[in-house]
Amino acid sequence: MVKINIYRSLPLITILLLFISSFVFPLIKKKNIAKLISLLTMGLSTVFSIMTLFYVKMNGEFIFRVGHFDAPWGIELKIGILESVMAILFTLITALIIWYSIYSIDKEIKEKRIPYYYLLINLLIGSLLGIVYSNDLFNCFVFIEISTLTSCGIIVIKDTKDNIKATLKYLILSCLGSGLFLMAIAFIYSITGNLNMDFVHKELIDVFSNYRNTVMISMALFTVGLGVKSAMFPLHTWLPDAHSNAPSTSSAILSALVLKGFVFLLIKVLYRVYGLEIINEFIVMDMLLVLGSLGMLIGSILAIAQDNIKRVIAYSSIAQMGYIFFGIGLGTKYGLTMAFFHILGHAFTKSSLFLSVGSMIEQTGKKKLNDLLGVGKEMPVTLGIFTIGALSMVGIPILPGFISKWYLSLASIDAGKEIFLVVILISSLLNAKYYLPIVVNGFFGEENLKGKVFMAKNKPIKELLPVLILTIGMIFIGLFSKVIIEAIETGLI
Amino acid sequence: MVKMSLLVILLLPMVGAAIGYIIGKKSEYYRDVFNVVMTGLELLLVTLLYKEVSMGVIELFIPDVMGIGLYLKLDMLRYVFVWLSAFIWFLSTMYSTQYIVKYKNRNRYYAYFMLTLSSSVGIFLSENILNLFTFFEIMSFTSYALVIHDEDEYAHEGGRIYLAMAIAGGLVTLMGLFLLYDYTATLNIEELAPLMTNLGNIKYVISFLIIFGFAVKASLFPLHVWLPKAYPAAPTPANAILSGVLLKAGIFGVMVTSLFIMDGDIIISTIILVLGLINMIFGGFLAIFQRNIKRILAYSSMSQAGYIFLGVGLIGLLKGHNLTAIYATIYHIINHALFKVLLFLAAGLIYMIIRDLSINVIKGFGKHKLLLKVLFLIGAFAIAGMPGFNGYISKTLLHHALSEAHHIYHSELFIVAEIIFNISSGLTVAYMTKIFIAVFIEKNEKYKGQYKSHMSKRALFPLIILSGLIIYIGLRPNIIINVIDKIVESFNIKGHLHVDFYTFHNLKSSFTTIIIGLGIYVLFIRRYLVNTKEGKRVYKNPSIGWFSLEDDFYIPVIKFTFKYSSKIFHIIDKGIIDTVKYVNNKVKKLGNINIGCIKRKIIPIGIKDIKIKDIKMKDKSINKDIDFKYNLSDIIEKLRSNMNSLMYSVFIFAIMLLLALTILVL
Repeated sequence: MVKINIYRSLPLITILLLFISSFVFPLIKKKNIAKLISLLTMGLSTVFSIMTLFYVKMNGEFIFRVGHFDAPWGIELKIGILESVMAILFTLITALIIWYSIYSIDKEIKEKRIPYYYLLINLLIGSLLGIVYSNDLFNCFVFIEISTLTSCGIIVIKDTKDNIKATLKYLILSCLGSGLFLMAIAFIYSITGNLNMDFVHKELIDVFSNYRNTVMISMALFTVGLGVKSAMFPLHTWLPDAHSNAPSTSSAILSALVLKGFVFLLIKVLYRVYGLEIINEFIVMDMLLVLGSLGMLIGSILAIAQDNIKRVIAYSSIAQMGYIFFGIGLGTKYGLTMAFFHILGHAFTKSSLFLSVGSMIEQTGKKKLNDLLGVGKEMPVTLGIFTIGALSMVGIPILPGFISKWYLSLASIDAGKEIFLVVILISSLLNAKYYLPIVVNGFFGEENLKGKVFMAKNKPIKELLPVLILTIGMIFIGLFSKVIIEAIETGLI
Repeated sequence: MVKMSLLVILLLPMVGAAIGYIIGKKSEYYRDVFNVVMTGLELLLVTLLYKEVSMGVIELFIPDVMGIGLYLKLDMLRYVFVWLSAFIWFLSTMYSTQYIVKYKNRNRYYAYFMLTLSSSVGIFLSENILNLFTFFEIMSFTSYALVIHDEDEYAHEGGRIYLAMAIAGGLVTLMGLFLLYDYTATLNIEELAPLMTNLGNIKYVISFLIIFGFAVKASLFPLHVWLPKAYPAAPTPANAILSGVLLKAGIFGVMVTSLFIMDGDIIISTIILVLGLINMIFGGFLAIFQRNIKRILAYSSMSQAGYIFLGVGLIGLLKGHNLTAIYATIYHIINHALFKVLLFLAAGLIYMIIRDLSINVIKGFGKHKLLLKVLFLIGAFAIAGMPGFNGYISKTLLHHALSEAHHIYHSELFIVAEIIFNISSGLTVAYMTKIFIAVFIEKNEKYKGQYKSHMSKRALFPLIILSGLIIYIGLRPNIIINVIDKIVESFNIKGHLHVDFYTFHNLKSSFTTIIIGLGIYVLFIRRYLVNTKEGKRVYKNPSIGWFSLEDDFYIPVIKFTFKYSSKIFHIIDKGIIDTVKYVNNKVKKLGNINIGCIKRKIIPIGIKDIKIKDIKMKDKSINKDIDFKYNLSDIIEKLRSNMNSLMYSVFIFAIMLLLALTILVL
């Protein structure tokens, strides 16, 4: 008798819940009901993900067979601690962003489109969860395609000239990226005859010496293909336009989560499909390290040159993704752990930054940095939230930004690459250069504050609550960094 | 259950401080009662623990608090300190309820008073030296609030130097602890001793640094400079605990470092012994000049701390034969707490009424107050080492220990020590005689017993208890000896001390010192420190203009260092700023270098990325050939806007892919 364990099927249930529920939205005419359903499904997914984490913590990693076919034929979901943590991250942050969007989305997109917006979000998060859970390369590709199209959808939904331009750019580059991914899968399949990651790995170990070049080409294709999607420097060119033109809730989701899903997939591909023995043969890690470092520096330099506040934050995302690639590129367990930690910390920080900036733009109607001087007097709570996020980015102790910088420095010393300490240091200084003036000019300066009325444009606390929760979550990640890092380390094995 | 009692005695005063503060907002009377009950309860609890402690050591470890976990331990040695703290706090709280009535901020005073008790108990209970240090720092800060309680200029001056020295000392000690942990990787006192012996010379640096902070609180020469300023500034009950307990906390820290961590190292012990001798004579010598009673008592505390340090040094030096020295040191710690608190509280009673402490003003105050006179005399006899009082017992023991050391080492040091011991005992007699004669014997028409009603019974009660104890211990010395027997076990020495205190030899040496003291009083104080003006005696203090360590040495040195280091840092700062500016300017210049010219006939209006300065030029020179000068920053600007376009993006993508493939494949 087959014993069905409900906990084991939770990951699949979560994905299906999000996908199936999304078909309900077009039928709904009232926007409030759409909002409610979206929030409910996302909240439920969060609960499921948390339950999955507890199950994994108690029983260890498990494999779920979709459709009860065994591995080489059927599709597998492989769920370990990292996967379930990522799932919680995605669902929890999206739930909070949806909560925020309930109050603000009406001002950014047309009313008719609101149910469709939530449809897209549910599909997007479902596909991201699929990328995280799936143990099958082609299945991953399908989910990548879904996520690409849906993320284009949540950008273009605003329907202005800039949006369409940005979306087209994103779409073309993304499609190129997915194309490379598909090509890479084709190469891999032709030499291993498998799509399941574990089986591919086993086969690759055997045939690797015979097909050196094929393996290398597939690796390059994977790296570049997923690099485009996760905004690896210099393939980031689509990001500033896409993130700065989208509605701020979309920006938050795109920057905090979508990028992370692809980085996670890249890690999975590198470590699970190829494995350390093969990676160490090539210089792919060094490539990631160098590109990560360049991203950290040039992303920040470009951010300094911007005058639109959302673009500043978008460029900062490039720099922060640089940190993640840097951590992966160190090629040590320690570095990888910190890359994961940075994924978590950055997801919380960036979403709270985008949402707080979004509410500033919403209330003042201004996007330029020069127009936002003295905004701290008008909206002190919002800018306060922004300040905490900015401080984390700059690297003030306790906050997660500092912790990832600190341990990344230790990790690079550990890996014998001390020279990269300079990169971390300079990039922190550059971060300070563009984040702190926003804060300082927002709160201080006689001229900036002249004529501003205290709390004049502040949003009600009720509407800011989700952003506050994100900020508190961020501080918690910083406070309990030790526990989290230990958990990640056990997850990495 | 017994283990948890350690936590209870540690936290009880802390909780009491909070509750007392809240009660005090409603009713002063109930707060006073509450505080007395609280300290009484603490004393009761500690006393009840005696049986448990005498059976064996109580240990308690709570992980995950205070960073490395809280490790408490109560053996007999620590028990003596804890019991003394609880006892003195109980009496001082009772006394405070009378003394502090006329002061402001009473609520704050009691809160800090109780917090200081909690931290003192914490110091004595800590087995982990970092815990000990943490409690020590808490104690420094809470007691600072007590020192500056008056909040006048004088109190703030005293408080400033008290705090400055405490912080400086604390930082030095912390440095020592860092080094200690770096070299030994443990902070538990018991585990440290075997590790330290293998360390080489660095252990002296470590122990010196650690001792520094504790020595400040124990007023070890030359770190005593805060003492004459802070003591007279603080309210009397605070004096009592400063001298009775906090001084002992410093001594406890030094003892832990020199005897347990360093295992009684010869060099450290010799230094402590020599500094102790300097303390004894220097404190006694300065005391005879002072005119403020509290300052006399402050210097006397310094001198008596010297006796204790002498004992601590002897314990280390007389390895294997240090039985007498251990007895003497601990006995003197107990005794000093009792008689010095008695003396301070008695002086406080006078201050409560006259609001002055100069013996020129309060001269003759006690002539008609028999009870006060007797109480003060008991204290004076005790500190002077008069047979029949407790001071005699410990001083005799110390004397024995000193002559034992002389027997073993035959060094000239101990002959000098013997002489200094006698002279400073003489000085003790001299300054006590000076106070006693001035305040209680001399005539003064102003005071004819008219203030009797001002003296409250409740304030006198602690004094009576203390003097009773002093006499009881003096007559039945073995009661404390029995307690110390158990302490000796923690020093890993088996043995029991049998001393007959009232022998001719001991009595003789005691009376010798008393005669020396009276001699100093008659021949020196009466001759050189007293002026007779219009038939009245006026005491003067010629030592005011003398070389003072604080004003003439520490402050100039610190000022000099500060001035010149700030200058040096300023130069460094300026250098950095100039470099940054220079680099910035150069980069800007680099950006403005003209790279090339493009001749254009028609103004390209349709081009989007036209620069503003180009447009301006357009007005002047329409239809002319214009040289468009391109510089580096223009090119970067153009590059950036191009980067944003789709074409370039795809282009970059292709290049990246090619690069990645070639790099990997090659």
